[in-house]
Amino acid sequence: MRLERDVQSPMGTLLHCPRRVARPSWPTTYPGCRPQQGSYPAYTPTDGWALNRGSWFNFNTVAQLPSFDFVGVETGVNVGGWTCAS
Amino acid sequence: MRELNGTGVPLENRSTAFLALILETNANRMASMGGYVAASHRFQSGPVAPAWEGQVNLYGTVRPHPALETRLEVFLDRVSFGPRLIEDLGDNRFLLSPLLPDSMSLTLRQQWVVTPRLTLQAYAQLFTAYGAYGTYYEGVSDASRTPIRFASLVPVERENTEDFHDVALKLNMVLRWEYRLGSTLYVVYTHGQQRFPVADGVRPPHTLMPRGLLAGAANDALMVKWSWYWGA
Repeated sequence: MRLERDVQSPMGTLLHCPRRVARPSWPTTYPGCRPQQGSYPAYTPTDGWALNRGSWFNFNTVAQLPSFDFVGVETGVNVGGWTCAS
Repeated sequence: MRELNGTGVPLENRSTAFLALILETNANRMASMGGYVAASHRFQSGPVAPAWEGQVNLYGTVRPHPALETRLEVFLDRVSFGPRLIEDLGDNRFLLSPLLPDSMSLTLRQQWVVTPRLTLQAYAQLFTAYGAYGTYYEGVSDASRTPIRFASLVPVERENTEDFHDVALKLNMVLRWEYRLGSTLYVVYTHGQQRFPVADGVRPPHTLMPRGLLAGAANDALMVKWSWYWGA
């Protein structure tokens, strides 16, 4: 687990708050496949506000094909919570 | 997805789910392409109906000759925001409205290596965007900054003066000539243009067409830079 800020995705606006992210990786049988990434809802706000930032899950994976082309998919859900107050 | 900026009052998050597909072909080929297509669904946000949004970012690169490269990129973006702050009405009352902005960017890049010491680069980008606000709502907090839930929003009557439409065009060309080792001459031409402002009292168009661009003010500049290296 490590603290990560501004996880950027193609739908970048979905992930915007400091959060704790678990980023497991494991070897795959296909050497061209990059480690998968999973993110779990483990919010601990770092701005001093004890507000729930919501629950979210994000999964990304990308594979390099023998032709040296890349294909990938990213999916996620972000539910509830409150915006970062200023 | 935005706090009531500067007030310290939290606002409920919009809830979304998304899926993005990514593709990049081998960039070492004479012609390559890449990009992603993403779709997202915003769930019901109190009185604001759910909606779809998405992004498309595609690019293609062609190298018909080792000295020539052309790259074209298109970016389309639609976001369906939930209610967001329009105005602080005072006394812990806030005016909010859902925003639906669309934007598009077309970019063309051209590189030509005439000789190893003489190169020509060109860049052109057309950007258009508009934003359409929906029904206005009033949200109420209190002195203790109680968070505002979407479900608590109350519709109010108000004239729409927040919509916007913008178009911008950027062009530039750079000629670089290293006529002697360490000594370089640059000639740069730039052109910047933005659409003529929408007249007061007129609702901006809800289109990605570059309306008003040619009537807008333009800025053209020609710059020369000469670097002369006379040895250590």
